[in-house]
Amino acid sequence: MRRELPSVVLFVVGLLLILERFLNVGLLAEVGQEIRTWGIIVAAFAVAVASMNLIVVHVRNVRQHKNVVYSLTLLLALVGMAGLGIATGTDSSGYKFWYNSLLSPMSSAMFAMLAFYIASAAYRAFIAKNAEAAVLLISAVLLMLGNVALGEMIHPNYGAVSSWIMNVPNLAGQRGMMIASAIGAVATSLRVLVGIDRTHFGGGE
Amino acid sequence: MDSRWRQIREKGGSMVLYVERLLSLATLLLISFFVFWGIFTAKRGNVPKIRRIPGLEAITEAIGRATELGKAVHFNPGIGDLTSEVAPQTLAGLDILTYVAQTCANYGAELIVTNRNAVVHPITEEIVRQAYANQGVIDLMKPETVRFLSDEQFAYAASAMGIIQRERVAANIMIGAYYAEALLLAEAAAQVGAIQIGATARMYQLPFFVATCDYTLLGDEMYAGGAAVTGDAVRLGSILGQDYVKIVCIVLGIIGALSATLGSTWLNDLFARFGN
Repeated sequence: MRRELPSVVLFVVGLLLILERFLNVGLLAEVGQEIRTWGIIVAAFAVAVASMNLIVVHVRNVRQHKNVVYSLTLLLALVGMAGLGIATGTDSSGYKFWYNSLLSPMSSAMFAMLAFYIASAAYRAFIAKNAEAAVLLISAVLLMLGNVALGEMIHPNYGAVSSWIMNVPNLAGQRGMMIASAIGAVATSLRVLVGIDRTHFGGGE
Repeated sequence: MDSRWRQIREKGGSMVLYVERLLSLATLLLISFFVFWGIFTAKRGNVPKIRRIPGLEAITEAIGRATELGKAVHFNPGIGDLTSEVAPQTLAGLDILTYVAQTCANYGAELIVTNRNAVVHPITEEIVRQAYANQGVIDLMKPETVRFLSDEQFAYAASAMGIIQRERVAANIMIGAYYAEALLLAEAAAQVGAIQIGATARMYQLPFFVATCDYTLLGDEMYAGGAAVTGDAVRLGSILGQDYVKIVCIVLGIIGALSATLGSTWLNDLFARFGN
């Protein structure tokens, strides 16, 4: 029963949402909207449950003197921002100040780190240790040359080579994978919907 | 609530198909037909054999190595949710998590699951708890085993990178929907010398996994993962069905290429009109 009931709910909700996508029926559209609203409510409860895990883990860390500084910073930020948001609202200048002054620049810094990581990942990937890696290395060098002035210095029409690599073999491969992935996604969803695949309820088959 | 439902009933219109979505409906029915036919075939005893997927075989090897080194295994089911178009990728990640958790429990390896999505978090917790309970090692399950880090993408990435580096994990398994954080996580694990297995169906992130991970599951290999590691006949049957749909797609591709070469656009027009 622990698994059957969620499976039945999943099937009914999934079927209703599929029908809503293909049938122009007012009732289905309204029911679909209602289900999505419930989804938002469930997600809000899930955030509360997840936040509890965060608090438990970091309180334990503080008690066990493990990464105390990190855990205290996190707990302080969590309680402080939640308190500020509840007391003054998320549109208040105080809340926005901390959000825009701390979280946004730190997120931008993390994103900027990608540039360095791309370089280090490319360095490792471009070692021609086998035939596939050699193909990767040669295509990458050809493409990189096409994207800098050096390519045009080698030959005025050099850009056509890098464009061809991107638009013919690369695009063909990508489209093949996209089609196969889409079929896999539909098949996975179908298995879950009809209850064949229930590992997400825990514990395997 | 009664008045709300009355409003819904009153708004109920006539049952009409969206014509512009007919082809999508036909595609869904076609895939469903082949998938269920594959499952039916497998149930009758004709279980298909699928090719070796090195990335999946490497999961056991990576967990074994982590056990020998006495270090943790880090698993992440992507940062996608369960309600958008990336939901199947998250489900595929959860499917493989079941196997990873069971293997870790069996070997006695420490498992750390990190989550970005709050809805996915309790599901991963339940999967790991059940896997540990099934293996009789529920006492190994701690609050730190399955951790929710943050629902902010880069806050999650920073936190997960910190865990990977501080715990010096021996294996990093990332299976699900990934965005810009994919490379951050993979590079953090590469720096501590972890065996890495990455899988996603998001085309923009696949090159990063190919460049950084020891093993990469490309696109639909990820969806076959659960079936392949468990050897479950029914799910293997559905993969057979998927392959038949691929054959239909290849035939359509050839017809489309021939038509376009001959200057006809009928297939394009058909998709433009009915394939919304």
